[in-house]
Amino acid sequence: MKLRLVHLSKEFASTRGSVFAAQDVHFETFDNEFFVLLGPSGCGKSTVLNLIAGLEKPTGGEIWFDESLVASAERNIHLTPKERNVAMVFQSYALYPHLSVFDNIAFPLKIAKESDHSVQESVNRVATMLSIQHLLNAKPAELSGGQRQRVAIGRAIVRRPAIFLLDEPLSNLDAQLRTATRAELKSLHRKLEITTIYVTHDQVEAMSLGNRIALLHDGRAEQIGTAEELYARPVSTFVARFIGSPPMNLLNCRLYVLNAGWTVMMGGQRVEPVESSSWASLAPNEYILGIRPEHIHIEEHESARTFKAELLAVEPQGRELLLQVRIEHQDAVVLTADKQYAKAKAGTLLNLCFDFCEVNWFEATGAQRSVL
Amino acid sequence: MREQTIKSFLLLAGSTFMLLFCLTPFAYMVLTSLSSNPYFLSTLDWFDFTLENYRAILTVPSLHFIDYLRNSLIVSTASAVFTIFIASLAAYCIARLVMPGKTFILFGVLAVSMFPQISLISYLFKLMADLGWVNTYAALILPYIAWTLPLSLWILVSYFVQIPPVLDKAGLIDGCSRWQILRKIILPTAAPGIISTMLLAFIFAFNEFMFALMLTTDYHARTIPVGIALFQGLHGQTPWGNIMAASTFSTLPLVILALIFQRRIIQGLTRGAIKG
Repeated sequence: MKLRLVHLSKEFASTRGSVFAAQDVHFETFDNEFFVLLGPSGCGKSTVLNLIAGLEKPTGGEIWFDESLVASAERNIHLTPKERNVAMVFQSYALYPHLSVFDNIAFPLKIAKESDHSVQESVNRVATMLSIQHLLNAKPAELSGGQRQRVAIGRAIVRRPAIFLLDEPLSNLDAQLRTATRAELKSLHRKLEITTIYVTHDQVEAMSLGNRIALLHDGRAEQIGTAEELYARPVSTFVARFIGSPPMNLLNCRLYVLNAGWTVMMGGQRVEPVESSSWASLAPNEYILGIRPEHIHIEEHESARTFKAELLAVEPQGRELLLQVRIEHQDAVVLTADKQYAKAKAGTLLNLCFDFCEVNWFEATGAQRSVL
Repeated sequence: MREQTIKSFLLLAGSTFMLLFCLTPFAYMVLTSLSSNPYFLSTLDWFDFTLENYRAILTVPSLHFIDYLRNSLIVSTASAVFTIFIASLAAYCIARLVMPGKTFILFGVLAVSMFPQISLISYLFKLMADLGWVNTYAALILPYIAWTLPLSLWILVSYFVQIPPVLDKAGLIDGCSRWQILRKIILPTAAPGIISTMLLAFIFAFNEFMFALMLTTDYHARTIPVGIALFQGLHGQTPWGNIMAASTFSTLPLVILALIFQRRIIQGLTRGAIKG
């Protein structure tokens, strides 16, 4: 099923005036896509999920499930979650405490008045798929977090929903279990072939799970694209800061033309980049230069292509070293595989060469959007 | 070690005193009901065991004890059930709906329940007389519902707000109507609260005296507290043995109810709904 959000907005009236929890969110998923809504807390991602589920009414825009309109503020259409046939896994699992695992999973089927025989069969099939057959008689209170998680997923997938919604389902699990469950969710999605919307604030989770990611910021979709696109070509400094660990270095600098070539000026230092042919759309101005830590190289000798930087600290990451440096009063991090810097002392001067092919330029003012 | 001993001694002494203080009248009641001489303590006569008082209240038709007991059970059960039904609907709305003036409603309800019973009774009697309901079950059940509703509402609201709202959302996603959510999710989850509130409403109606005194005239609707109080004067002298036997007997329903539901009241059913 294809999910299509058309200029979707949700405005909450509060005592301090109205607040947009979602504003003009507009995207379409592919059939059976694993689509991730990513963003910091309070960005409106859960609101968007609730709008898709039918738990809340939009104040603007439309939601389409394939060719059927399930919600429209303008035409005053609002289908219930039941009519939309959505399934949802909540962050807190929301298992019914008075029911056994079997009854929890069977609950949506019993509400739909399916026969006892088919309920039994469906629950057993799902329980086998999630390896929780031995827990069917237990009450939720007797289960561990990971087991509750499975029961919640079981309850969601037991009745072949049109769309599968997951609201931060892994955030209550410990790190090890989270990685394992992540892999399982991915294989479950392949097996079920149901369009899945996944909400998370964890960019690692988003990058590893999603076919595509929508990064939300203050209720707006800041950027929609694959993990690679968001990583390599962020549309704003917000995306650049949010995606990637360690995040992209963002450095204030001035760009001007000298001798028919571009010159990058950072504080008192000047560099004439080699590759500048693709910067035709740039005008001489103040910019924010965005560069990933792995695209900064350390050179032995000072040259016209290097910035001088002071080493602040070295953080071993196992395979690589993370160097905290300061260039002209601006902090940056550099990722290097060269182990000779492991013992380098703070205060050492380094010559840094930027890979300008990989540099992103952002406006220095306002929304700090990408200018390339 | 010494401090421990003193502590446990004080604890023991304190609880013994409390227990004696609370249970002595009760014990006196039971003993009197089992004695053929109702004044056996005052004259230090020998205690003379007999079941005659119990036989009398259960078999002598003119005492109408069985009628009173039946009336009490019917009136109390009906008012408790209706109270809980209305209170749980109201409490669910107040706990879940986003609406202005929610606290105003709750405190309004509380304020109404503060009226002294005595200030209502004359008007209530006139109302019931005009309706022709005096000496019927309805004359007691309706005021009892009104009287127990505020407290029940407050207790149930406090139970319902503890139930995570995400359970309602899960119910909606799983295809429930609002009514089904209340019936299949909220009420079973709040069962300990519902049951103890229902018991409270039942006990209130079971013990209520003034309305029952004013609004009933004879054994067709008269409840136990009034019935027992009016035992005296039948033959000019106070039949303490019968009164005490009837009192003892009428504590039985409450004791039985408490024993049956004890486990469910104590059990914390909300465990395991969400993480933690």
